[in-house]
Formats: sequence, C-alpha cells, structure tokens
Amino acid sequence: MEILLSAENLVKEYSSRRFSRSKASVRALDHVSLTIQPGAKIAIVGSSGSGKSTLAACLACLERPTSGTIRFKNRELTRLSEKELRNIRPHIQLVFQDAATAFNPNFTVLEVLEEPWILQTKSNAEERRERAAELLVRVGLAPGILGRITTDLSGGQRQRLALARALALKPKILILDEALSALDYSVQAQIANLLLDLSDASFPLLERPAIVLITHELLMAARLADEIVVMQNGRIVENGPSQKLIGDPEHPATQALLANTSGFNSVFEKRPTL
Amino acid sequence: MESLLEVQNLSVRYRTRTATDVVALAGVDLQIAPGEIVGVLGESGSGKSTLAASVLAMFPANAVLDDGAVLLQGTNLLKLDRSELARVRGSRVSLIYQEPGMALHPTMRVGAQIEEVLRAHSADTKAESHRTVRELLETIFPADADRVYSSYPHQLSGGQRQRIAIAQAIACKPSLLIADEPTASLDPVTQREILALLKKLQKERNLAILFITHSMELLDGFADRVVVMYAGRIIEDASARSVLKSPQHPYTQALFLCRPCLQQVQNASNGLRIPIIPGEPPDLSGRVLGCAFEPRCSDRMQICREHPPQFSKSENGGRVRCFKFGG
Repeated sequence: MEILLSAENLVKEYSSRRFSRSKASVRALDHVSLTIQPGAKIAIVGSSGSGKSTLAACLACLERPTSGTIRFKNRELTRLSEKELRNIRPHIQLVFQDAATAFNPNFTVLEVLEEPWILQTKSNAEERRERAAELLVRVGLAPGILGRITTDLSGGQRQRLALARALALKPKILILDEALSALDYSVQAQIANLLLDLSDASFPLLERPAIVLITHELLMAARLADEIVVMQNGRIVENGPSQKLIGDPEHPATQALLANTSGFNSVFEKRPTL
Repeated sequence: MESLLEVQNLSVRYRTRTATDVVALAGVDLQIAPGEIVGVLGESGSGKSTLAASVLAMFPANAVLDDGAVLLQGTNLLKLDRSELARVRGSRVSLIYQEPGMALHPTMRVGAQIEEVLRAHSADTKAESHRTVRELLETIFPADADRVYSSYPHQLSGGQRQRIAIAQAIACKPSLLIADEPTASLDPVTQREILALLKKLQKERNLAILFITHSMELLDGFADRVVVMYAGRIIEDASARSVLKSPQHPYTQALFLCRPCLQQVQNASNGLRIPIIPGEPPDLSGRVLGCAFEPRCSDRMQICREHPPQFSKSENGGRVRCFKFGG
C-alpha cells in the first residue's frame, strides 16, 4: 500500500537547562518510527510528558527533530529550508487544543478563512468569499457568520472554525493536538462526529485527509481512529488496530490509560448498545 | 442532618456591554452536610463556576447579586464586610482552582507559602507553623516531603503543584473546600491520585468538598452526591450512585450518552456516529419562558415551552426539575 508520510527513528532532545553549564537534556522523542497511509485515521495516545505533542510538532514541521527522517511525497522534510517548507505546509495542517488563542482577535470569520488562500494561492475576493462559505457549511456552521468577529463565537464554534481553516488548503494530513479536550462533552461529541464525517470512507480518497489525533483519552481515540499508537517516555510502547488495543491491551501504559478512562462507563445502565 | 453550608435562592447575573445581561445563577438552592462530597456537574455557561465563587463571596466587578444567601453554619457570607470575609476565607472555607501554577508565588519556596497561610489566620510562632507544615507535607508527600518543602513551584510537576495548593487550602483546617475543576489540566493517572488525596482528607478531617467539574467520570466512586446544572439552575440532585447509574433528567441522560464508553466503542462498527445533544448551548439572557433545555430536549411537551418546571421528587430519591416527573 502507498505510504503518505513515514517517520523513521525520530529523536528530539530539548536542553533542560539552557542557562547553566551542565549539558543535561530531555529526550522527548526516543527513536520513534511511524507510517501514515492516505486517508488513514491514527490516534497517538499517552499521558503528559509521553512525547505525543512533540511528535505532532515534528510531523507538522514546527520542530526539527534532533535526528531521524520524515519522508513526505518522496521528500526528506527534516533537511528542507524554511522556504522549501512553505510548499509542504499546506499539505500538513495542525489544529491545537485552544481555539480561542488560535485566531487574531480582530479578525472576522472571513478574514480567518481567507488568509491561507491569500498566502498560498492566487485568488480574488469574490472567489474566496464563496469558498469560505462552502467551508463553513462543511464544518456545520452557518455561512451567515462570515462577518462576525471570532471572539464573539462560542468554544465549539471556534473549534469548528479552526478545523475549517485547516481544511482550507485541502491538506493531505490533518493533525489534531488535543483539539477536543478543552471542549464540553456535548460539543466534543459534535466535533468528533464532524471528524468522522470528514474522514468518511464514502468520500474519494483524494478528498479526505489522513487524520492524526493526539489525545490522552483512549476511548475517544478508539472511537475515532482505526489505529492507535501508545507513547510513554518518548517511545512507542504499543500500537495496533483500535479494537484490539482496547480489547486486549498488552503494555502497562495502555492498561493504565484504559483503567483511568473507563472507570465511569460501566455504571450508566441505560446506555444503548450500538 | 444539620447542614454545614446552605445556599438559598442564589441569583447572580453579569452586566455586559451590550444591552442584555447574562444570567449566571437563577435561584440556586443547595445544602452540604459536614464531611459530604458534593459534585457539581455542568458544562460551559451552566453557572457552576459562579456558584463556586459565590460561596466565598468572590464576585467579578460586573456581577450583580439579585437575591440569595450563603449560610455557613448559620452566618450569611454575602453580608460580611471585607475584613470579616478575610477571616473566613482560607480558615473556614477555602478554594482551589484548575491551574495550581497560577495560585502559587513563582519565586517563593512552596513550604514558606503554606506557612504564610497559617500565620495569616493564627497566632502561631514561626517555629510552630513550620512544624505544622512539615507534618502536613509528610502526609501529602510521604516519600519526599523534605525536597518538596524547599522547592520552587516551577521545580514541581502539575500534580505536585496541585497537591501544594491543596496543602495551602487545608492548612487551617477549614470545614469546607471548594474545588473548581482542580484536575482539568492533569492527565488521567494524576487526576485519580488527586481525587484519592481529597477523599483521604475528607475521611481523616471530616472535610466537606464542593467539587465543580464537567467530567462525570471523575465523580464515580468519589462524590457522595451529584448536582447537575444547566443554564444557571440545578436540574437534578441525588446520590452520586443514582445520578451516575440512572440519570433522570433528559439533559443528564443525553450528556452521558455523548461520552464514548468501552462497550459502545467495542460494539461500534466503523463510521457510526456518536449520539449528540442537538442544537446550541442555552440562551442565558434570562428571557426563556419555559424550561431552558426545551429546545434541545427529545421528550419535550407543550407545557415545557410555557412554564418553568419546578423540582419534583425523582424515583431515585433525589429531586429533578422536569415536567416528566410532575414539574
């Protein structure tokens, strides 16, 4: 099968004491290898400090790994200059946890959405307005909010807008770094369904991005992704198909995550089985 | 049982720059018994954080107190002046927040910060408060109390910092601790550790806890009673077991279904969607005539749009604000 992106032996070290003479450093990623196929849905789970956000930042070319390679479309991303990376960035988009701080507070919804097109493509204002309205519909927002200031939107609306902006340039890979965690549960469910819609297999493969979901919630990960990668102390300690991983977790780190997220779920008796 | 805290008809709204005010609390009644852990479950805009702050009479500048009383062992905290309040806060009621880093002084060793609280509320000498804090830290950090005592906040992990905030909060042996999302910024394993610590303190010190959260799973096995809030009102209130096992209010039921559970995940075939609560979060302008959840409710009736529901006794021994149960 075709491979969209492959990371091999990624190591990322941060020096922990920048201002002291000791050479102590923290190894946030320790020989991590990962492949992503077109249209795949992968979740990277782990507790705080496991290295999952560092991995996301490296895959999105926001951080350069200390060593290792990332291949995307037959190009080695870690060696590219900033200028060369500009051609890659539209294909790999990142959405963060806190959508409130992701936008210029003075921007309208339209300005947020058209910025990627102004920077990366040749287009006129009318075209951009039309495409922005289409994108809003795709993420479940009313086109009527194009003229609103982003700070007037609710948390759920802002996270939908962040998704819409990430989709504006038709990325091949969409990385979501805890993009659901800060939202209310009722809103999380809506956004989770939206992600399932975006990655629905009924779309042609070329039109749906591969989704990389970074989270500490194993059950939400299993609900959304086909494959789960479990990280601990900068290493991948277990990976496999979602159903197998939550049905028969082997590594203690996976078992701990499962034990701590599923505590509640056994008690609600009226829950319908799907 | 004699109640420790009694919140009566608390009604708070926030002034906004635009014309309409936002109603944060619309007549909240709540009682907490000594040593009881009450979980307040609600989403954004439900008024749960305003409730937490109101118990300590800490209102933002744009808040308007329309009505209500907060009685702590008979004293109305909302009627106290500043110096009287200062004596109550930290000694009889204390508060911990979501982000412990914000509550700690960045350039002061944490041991000294805990001693500061003690000396503000008692006539203890420096040596006495030092000894009390050492004992306290030894119960909270059995393995490395010494190291923690002389650490700065940035040298500690998020979980350790939250333990320090808890140590500060309980140093003067208050009878009530308000905890506003204290574990929201921590990972699941650390969350459980903090809950275990709070539970231990409840048992050892008969500490009552008002635990504000949006995560129902944290309340399972932790809270004694669960209160569910929606649009500034309590809509359901019963023992934790009843609410978590058989929620009565349509909102509570719908909210619980939004969480993927193990069984659901294992049985879900590929691509199936998660049940959601349709519609938008509630209108907080206070102009709602009937039940605030009515527009999103799957069991709505004609009467729900016309009149606000009152509390009825629910099957599980609690109270529920819904016309399905009489209203």
